[in-house]
Amino acid sequence: MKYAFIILAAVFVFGLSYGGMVTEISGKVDILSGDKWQKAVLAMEVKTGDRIMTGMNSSIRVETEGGFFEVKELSMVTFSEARTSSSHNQKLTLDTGKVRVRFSKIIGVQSSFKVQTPRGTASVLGTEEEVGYSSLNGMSVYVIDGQVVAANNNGNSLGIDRGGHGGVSAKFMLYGNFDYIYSESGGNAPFGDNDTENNTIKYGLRFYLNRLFYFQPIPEPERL
Amino acid sequence: MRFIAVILLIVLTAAGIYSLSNEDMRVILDKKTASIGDALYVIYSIDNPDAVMADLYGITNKRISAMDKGAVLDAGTLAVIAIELGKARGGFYYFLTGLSRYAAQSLIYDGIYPESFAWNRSLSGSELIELAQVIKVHI
Repeated sequence: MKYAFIILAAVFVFGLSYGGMVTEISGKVDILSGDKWQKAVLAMEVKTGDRIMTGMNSSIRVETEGGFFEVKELSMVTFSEARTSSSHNQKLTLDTGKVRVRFSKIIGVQSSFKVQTPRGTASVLGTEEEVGYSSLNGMSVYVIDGQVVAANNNGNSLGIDRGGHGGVSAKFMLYGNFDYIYSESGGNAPFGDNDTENNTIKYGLRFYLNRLFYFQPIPEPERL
Repeated sequence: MRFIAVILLIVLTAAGIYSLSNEDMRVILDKKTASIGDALYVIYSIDNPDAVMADLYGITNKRISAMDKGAVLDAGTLAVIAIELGKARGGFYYFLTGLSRYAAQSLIYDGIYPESFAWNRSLSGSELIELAQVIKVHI
C-alpha cells in the first residue's frame, strides 16, 4: 500500500512536470537535453527546450498531453511548453524537415499547439496535420483532420480545413489549396468521373492560357 | 576462421565510425557553404544509410570522379551528382551536353528545385540536407 502510494505520487508529480515521452523510434535519433546530444531511447522524457534531430530513414514519436507529434527524417525541431494553472501551450520550433502533429484540446485549461518555422506558424486547433519547412520552399501544411491556422510573420493568417494544403512561401506569401488531398486522390466532385459540367477542360484551358499569357502584375506602391 | 572474424570486426567497427551519423549531419547543417564531398556523402547515403567514406572513392562514374571533393557546392553540381547516382532524372540537353546548368534545369522541371533556382548558386549545409530530403521523396 505504501509503495503503491509512492508510485502514484511519483506518477502524479511526473505527469505534471514532463513535456512528452518517446513512444516510438526508428533509425538514428538524437536529443539535445541541456548541452549534450544523446541517443533517444524509448520512454525517454522530452522536456521543454529539448532539441530533437532525426537522421536518414529515421523518425520519432513523442506523446504529449493532448496528443502526439512525430518528427520525420532529416528534421531538427525544438520542443517547448508553457504551463500555468489555467493554460497549457505547447510549441514545436521546426528548423528544417517535417513534423506530424495530432492534438486535441485539453479539457479544463486553455490549450494550444503551434508549429513555428522561420517563415510562419501553424496553429493546430484540435486536429491532425503535417508541417514541413525548408528555407527554399517555405512552410507547407497538409491538414489530415480538423482545422489549422497558418500565419506568416507579417501577421496575416489563413484557415485551412480538413483535406487542404497551404502554407507560407519562401517569400512570406500565404497560399492555400483547400481541396488538395481530395483532388489528389480523385475524390474532388467537379473533376474526374463526376465532371458533369466539363470543368476539367475549362480549368485546363484556363491554366494553359494563363501560362501562355503570363504577366506579372505590378504591385501598387505603399502609401506613405 | 578467427582471422576472418577479426577482419569482419574491424570492417564493421570502421563502418560504424564512418557511417553518416547524426553528428556528421549536424556538422553539415552548420556549414555556410557545403562542399561537393558533403553532397556526395549525403546523396549516396539516401540508399546506403551505412555508407562509409571509402565507398565514395569506389564510385567509378567519370563525371563524379572528376569532381574536386573540397570545392564549393553549387546547385548545378548537386543536380549532376543526383542524376549520376540515379536519384533524379536528367533531361535530354543534359545527356547531350553534360553541363551542370541543364542538370539543374532537369531538377527544376521535376519540381525538386524551386522555380527560378540559379544553377550556379552556392548551397549551404542546411539547404543541402533539405534538398536531399526532397530528392529522396522524388525517387
